[in-house]
Amino acid sequence: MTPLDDELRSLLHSRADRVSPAADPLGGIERRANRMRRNRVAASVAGAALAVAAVAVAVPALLPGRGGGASSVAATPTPSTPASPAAPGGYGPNELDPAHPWAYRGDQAVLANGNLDTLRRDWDVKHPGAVLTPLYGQVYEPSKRPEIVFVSHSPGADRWGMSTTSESGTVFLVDQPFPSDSSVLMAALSGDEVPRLVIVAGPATGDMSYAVDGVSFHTIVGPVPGVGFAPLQGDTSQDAVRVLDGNGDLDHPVFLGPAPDAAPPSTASPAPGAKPVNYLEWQTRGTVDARTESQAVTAFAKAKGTTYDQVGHHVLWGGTDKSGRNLVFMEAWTAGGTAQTFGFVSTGEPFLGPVIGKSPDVLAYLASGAPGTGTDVLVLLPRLGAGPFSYATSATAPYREVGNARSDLGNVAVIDRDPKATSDRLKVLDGDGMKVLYDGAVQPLLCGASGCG
Amino acid sequence: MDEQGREAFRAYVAARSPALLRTAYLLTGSRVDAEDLLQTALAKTYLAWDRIRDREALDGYVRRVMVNTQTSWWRRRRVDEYATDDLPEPGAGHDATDALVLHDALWTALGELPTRQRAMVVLRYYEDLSEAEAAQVMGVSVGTVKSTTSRALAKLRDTSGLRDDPRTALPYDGVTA
Repeated sequence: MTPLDDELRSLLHSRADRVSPAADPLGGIERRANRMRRNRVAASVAGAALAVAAVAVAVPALLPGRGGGASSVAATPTPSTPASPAAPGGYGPNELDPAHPWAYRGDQAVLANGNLDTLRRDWDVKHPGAVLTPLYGQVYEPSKRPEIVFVSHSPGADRWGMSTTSESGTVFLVDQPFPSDSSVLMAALSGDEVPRLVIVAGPATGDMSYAVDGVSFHTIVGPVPGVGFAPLQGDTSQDAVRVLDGNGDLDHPVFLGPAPDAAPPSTASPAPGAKPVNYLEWQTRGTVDARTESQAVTAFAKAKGTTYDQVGHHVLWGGTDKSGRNLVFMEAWTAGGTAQTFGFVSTGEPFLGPVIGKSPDVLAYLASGAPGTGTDVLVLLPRLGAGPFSYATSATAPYREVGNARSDLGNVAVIDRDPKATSDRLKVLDGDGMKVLYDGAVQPLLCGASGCG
Repeated sequence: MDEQGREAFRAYVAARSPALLRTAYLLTGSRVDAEDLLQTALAKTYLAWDRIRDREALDGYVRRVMVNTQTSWWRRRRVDEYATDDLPEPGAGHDATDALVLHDALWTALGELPTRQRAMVVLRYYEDLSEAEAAQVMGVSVGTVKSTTSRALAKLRDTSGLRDDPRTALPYDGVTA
């Protein structure tokens, strides 16, 4: 027990004791619960009804002999209702309960060799504490890489996703909140060849079909029951998906509704994958492990009040300090935004840096020092092609050379900086060591959205 | 939910909502937000009631829903936890007035903690949960509980200006069980 422990306990109890009980908490809870339940069912029915409305308008235009061939089926204009409406607080037989999900369908080998453990670990970085359960796995032929569809359970924050791998580790192709209609999980994937739609429904469902025009449904032959992929080609603005139950009941489809968009509409914000106008084409220096990189992106998203999947980033440098802590320095942006520098240390506060200017000669990042060191950590990153660079601890102290950016990609200066330093300076010369690219205080390089480091 | 389940839920709410409201208040720092948070958490519990088999673990379930919901709201409200231009003045003396100043500074600093750090402090120092219990509620490892709590305490000392106060002197990693 320490004095701070005592003060905290005393403070928390004294503040909490001021709170008087709420009047009639039960009535409000039941009203809210009923509203949640209604919203959930309404969202489910509304999605299906919307699609049926479109179908009802389009059906008169279908003349005998036109439209689909043997495998196409004109959708019924009968209003669609879920085959098994969710029981209060429960799930129907074709609905997915994130807490008790469907059994895994797919290639067991995809989960082997620690792949599932790695996926769960990387997911936990993005969504701490969530319980991930794989639903389907395969090797995607064009890329020869494994793909896993999964559901993630966390009270009040259920999600679902789809992952693959790259040279740098796990890549989340999908990371979305759990849908209000839990009978089907759908997402449009960019794909290595053409965009494709992934659809995962219950294992006991029957025919799964896709209609690019929202009317002429063609059966999707999936790899396993309840799982399907459809190429997204042409105008997909009207496309729809239909999933029937095991009896093929056309009047009461398990799901009938619009497919997710293959690409964001023109009015939407640019995807975070699109490079911002001030994107810095600097080669990544040093090394960074996927976990730390993912933590850094998560921290940036949190700092910007957005979600992981709305953040784009490019690692400028990754390395460690003397205490062995992992450091990442990157440029990062949100969809439609401009790139700014962002520093992350595995045990310490993130650094939200300035918006990147045009052709900077040097970037800097300040991290709080490791416990017990008494110093901060200053990372200096001159542009590639620059020459010797030097650091002075104060306005009057002499410069000492700390690196040469010209020949060594990993030659980034990591300096123990006095936490009280305000007038330390930096000088960067060009590749010939003749022209001064930067000679001035460090502090302006650190000034970001939350002030100067 | 059948009538028997509804009665059980009502009994649970009647017995536990005052205590849970206090926890919600410490998580949010606002009476209004606390009521909203608790009501949402209990409404979600109500909908999941039939699926919760271990009724002994209900408090833990509700706490977890509150923490996750609060984190979700925090993200939507776009609160920037890193912007702290105005730091509270530290208390310097050791008399009763200074104790109040110290509490005010700590309370302010608590409000500036990231949501999960704040939740960890509440679970460990108000609910008096062990590291293992807090880990279960938060859905993280015990190691994460230790490191998150350590960072929270360090930040509390730093941002409340209490680093030099002998009453709050503590080694950086001095988290106690």
